[in-house]
Amino acid sequence: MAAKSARRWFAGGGTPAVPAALSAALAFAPLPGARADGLAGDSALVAAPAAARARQYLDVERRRLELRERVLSAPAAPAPGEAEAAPQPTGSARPSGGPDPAFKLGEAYCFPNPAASGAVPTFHVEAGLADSVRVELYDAAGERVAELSASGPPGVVEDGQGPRYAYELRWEGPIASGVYAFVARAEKDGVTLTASGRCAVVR
Amino acid sequence: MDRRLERTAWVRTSLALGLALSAFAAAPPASATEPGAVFLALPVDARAAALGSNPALASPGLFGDPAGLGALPGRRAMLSHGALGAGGTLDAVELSVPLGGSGPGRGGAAAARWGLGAGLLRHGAGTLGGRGADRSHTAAASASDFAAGAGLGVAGLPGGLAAGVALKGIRGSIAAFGAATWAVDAGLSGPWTIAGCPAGWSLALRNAGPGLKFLAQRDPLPTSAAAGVSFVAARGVMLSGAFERRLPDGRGRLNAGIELAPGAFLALRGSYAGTVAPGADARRAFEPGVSGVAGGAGVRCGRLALNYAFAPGAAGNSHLVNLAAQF
Repeated sequence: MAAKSARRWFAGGGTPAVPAALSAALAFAPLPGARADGLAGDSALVAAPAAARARQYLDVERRRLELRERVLSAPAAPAPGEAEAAPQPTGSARPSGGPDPAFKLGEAYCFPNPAASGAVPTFHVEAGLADSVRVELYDAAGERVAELSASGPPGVVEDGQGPRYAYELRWEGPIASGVYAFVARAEKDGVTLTASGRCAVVR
Repeated sequence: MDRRLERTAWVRTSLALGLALSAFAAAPPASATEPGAVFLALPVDARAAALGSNPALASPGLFGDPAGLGALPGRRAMLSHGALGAGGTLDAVELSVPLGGSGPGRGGAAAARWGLGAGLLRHGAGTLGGRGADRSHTAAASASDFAAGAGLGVAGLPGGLAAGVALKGIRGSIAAFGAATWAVDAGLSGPWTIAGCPAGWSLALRNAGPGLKFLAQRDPLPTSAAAGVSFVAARGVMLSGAFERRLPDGRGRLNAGIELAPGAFLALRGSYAGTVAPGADARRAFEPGVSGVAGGAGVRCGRLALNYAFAPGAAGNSHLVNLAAQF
């Protein structure tokens, strides 16, 4: 009876007599051999006897719950801005593929460089999750001409080398053409990391 | 009597000019704009740099004091090299020659003497790691600036005054972009006495010109007006002070220096400068810091003089060394 109802439903004839629990599970539990487009799964479902389909459903549901349990029990990467409350996994302890929140200096550069015409020079500083990040800019005479501060949590930058936390500070306003030295300082728990570089502006 | 009156008139005129220039220098800026081509404001003379870039102590030359060109006792050549704290180098070569006098002045006054100077200055900013707008690496780029020109000075004017003017051509390049402009320097100096001690004063206007334009924006040059004094307080002890205001952004600089010359061939120097910068909340805020400290030493051997200056800074330490020869 159930097989007939299912067959009619998939053929578009009348209301299916599929149990509600099975309908919900089908949405996320592809059958063995199913393809991405779902055609093979539908065909297998139509062809399988009701008892076999029930066993398959229970098996898939069990594996789904096991997978869910594993995902929920795994250590999660702290969200930006939650660095102080969250544990600080380092090295292999961090979930594979996520940005490393450890407070250590990565790349620090300016882009675009040179910043020609109306392009806004932006300073990219990788330091994991820091309490504060600021960039000081000096002209050729060594005089400080600007100081930028990060006002929020870092963003996650993916540039082909894996996702990384990065603070990006834009230097806006009137800037004279020239080559400027920048010193980036990241602070966390009284520890300061410093990086320097140069940035050219052409207006 | 006539000579005395003439001398008094020149002194009064000079003081009036000095007061006018000081007022001009102290006036609030029309707009707080950071200047471009700031390498033009860097000293190439290590003695002047160690003493806080006092115009009264700048060496005679195109990139120093054009007013001193007329007082040259002989031909003078100078080579200078600097490693800048903010990265980059500063190299200069100067040649100055006396042109002779114009005959005795009126009433037996000293003859006016003329001098000519020429030079070349290069500021190298080195190689920049290129980045595109998408953060990707691009081809490395280099940046450099050049200035070249000539100056003319006259000394022996009534009242012991000396005056000079210099014209410089300037070219800057950043990656594939370039710009050119020109600038004028002018100086006026004279003798003085402070409490019976021999002293000198100097007024200088530096880097006055139309600005540097690469693409669409014309950046003002680091035009500045400065006044400085120096006097010998005791045998082998010279004190100096100066005030300089950069006109485009109104930034001022007040410095004091000391030179100790215990022997005929060695001198030790030190100075401190405070910056007076216009701000949004406080019109002028005194910003003391280690970046205002400079020091150096010099040795003289016959017609050769070797000078060195050192200035720590937040962006790095600067070193300047130059060799001057008189022949």
